[in-house]
Amino acid sequence: MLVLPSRTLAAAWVASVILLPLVLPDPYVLRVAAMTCIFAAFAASWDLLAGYAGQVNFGHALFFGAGAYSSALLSLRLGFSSWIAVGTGALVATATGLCVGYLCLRLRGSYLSLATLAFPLILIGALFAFPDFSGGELGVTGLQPLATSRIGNYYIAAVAMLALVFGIWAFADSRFGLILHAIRDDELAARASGIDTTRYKLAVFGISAAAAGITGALYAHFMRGAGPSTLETALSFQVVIWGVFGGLATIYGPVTAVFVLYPLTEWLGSFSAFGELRLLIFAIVVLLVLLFMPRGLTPWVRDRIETRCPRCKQQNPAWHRSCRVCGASLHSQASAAGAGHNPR
Amino acid sequence: MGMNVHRVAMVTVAISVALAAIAGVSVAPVFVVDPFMWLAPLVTVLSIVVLGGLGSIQGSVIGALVIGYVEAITVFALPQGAFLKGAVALSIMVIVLLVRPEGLFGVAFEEER
Repeated sequence: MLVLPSRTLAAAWVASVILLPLVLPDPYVLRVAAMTCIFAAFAASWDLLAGYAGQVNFGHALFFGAGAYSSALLSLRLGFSSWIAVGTGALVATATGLCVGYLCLRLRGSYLSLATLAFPLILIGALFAFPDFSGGELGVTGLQPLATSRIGNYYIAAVAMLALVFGIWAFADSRFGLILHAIRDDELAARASGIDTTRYKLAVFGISAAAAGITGALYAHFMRGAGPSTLETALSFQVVIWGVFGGLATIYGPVTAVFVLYPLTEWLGSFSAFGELRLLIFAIVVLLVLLFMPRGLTPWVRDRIETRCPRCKQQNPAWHRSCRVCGASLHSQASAAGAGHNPR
Repeated sequence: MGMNVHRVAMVTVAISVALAAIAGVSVAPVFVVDPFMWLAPLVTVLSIVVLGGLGSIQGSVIGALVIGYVEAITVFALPQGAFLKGAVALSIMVIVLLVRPEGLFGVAFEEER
């Protein structure tokens, strides 16, 4: 849980997300901000699966693409209204997630990553093989957006992102999240403690895929179409980069990473002088951050503004001399306590 | 046993990279060279190695022949087969991972499954 300094940061972030269109109603800024929101929720859903449950998914774009394509095809081919199409897209993505989870139940570690890497590419091949239905390499276009105005579209993305991120976060902080930690750290021990790991792994695949599917469907309606780029390996790896950059198993970490990296990429792209150098600059920024903050950006920031009580393991603001919960002195073992609140 | 682990790892990486580079040099006159040409072989190589079995060189060679012929047959036999050849190779990989994770000739690592 958060304490005062990080809670202030989170509140400031929520306020700035909500107030942005009032301060900067520029269409380009709103578009970038809406995309940032969509990808932030997507990164959070990956973190639930990979960070908490340890099912390191290298094909998370499958769920994004399944949500995007199914909602787009349902609205265009069957005439579903936009919101119903988004909901059905999420259901299709959940079903996809349960299928992948079922197939991958017996796989672990790098074998799981390899198998999950394959699924979006298989789906991409199948979509290209039926161009009349799926639009082939061009994808499908011509969707109605969810709202008529730019600001309305931004608020739909922002509110959906806030709901998804805080929902996933509350979920990950609950008993369920604790069980996911146990499954990641030692599945055998978790099973020996009477946890039905199969059921929990399937459930986390389904939940993560549902969240990713909602973001995919929102993306399709925001872009007014769905193309093969929603299924590409590049997107799957992008979400891994976001997760590792922000800090695994935190939920807020990948969200922060998207809010830092996605606008940064766009901003670098706005200088014509950089041209294709922006990818190089992006890579250098990511590498430098990971070199100096090996556990990711947000755990590093939290270690600076908070201390963990050596006795009761509660987080305290860095300026406290004694723990706010149990009263133990914080500075006698400050170096040991500063070693991290995160099990990773 | 007196082995220099770092040295062995370094030499292994060097040999592996050299073989990959030879493969790259030999396709350069045949294919179009472009910045994203690493992606398709990466995925194909994964399915070949998983089919042959991780840790088995002869398995990789036989796996490469099998996947190569399967891809060629897919392209010729199926309508729109050119789009499906990657999907077929990857489906083989997924099936192998699920049914026989050690592949055709690989060694089973019980703790890694």
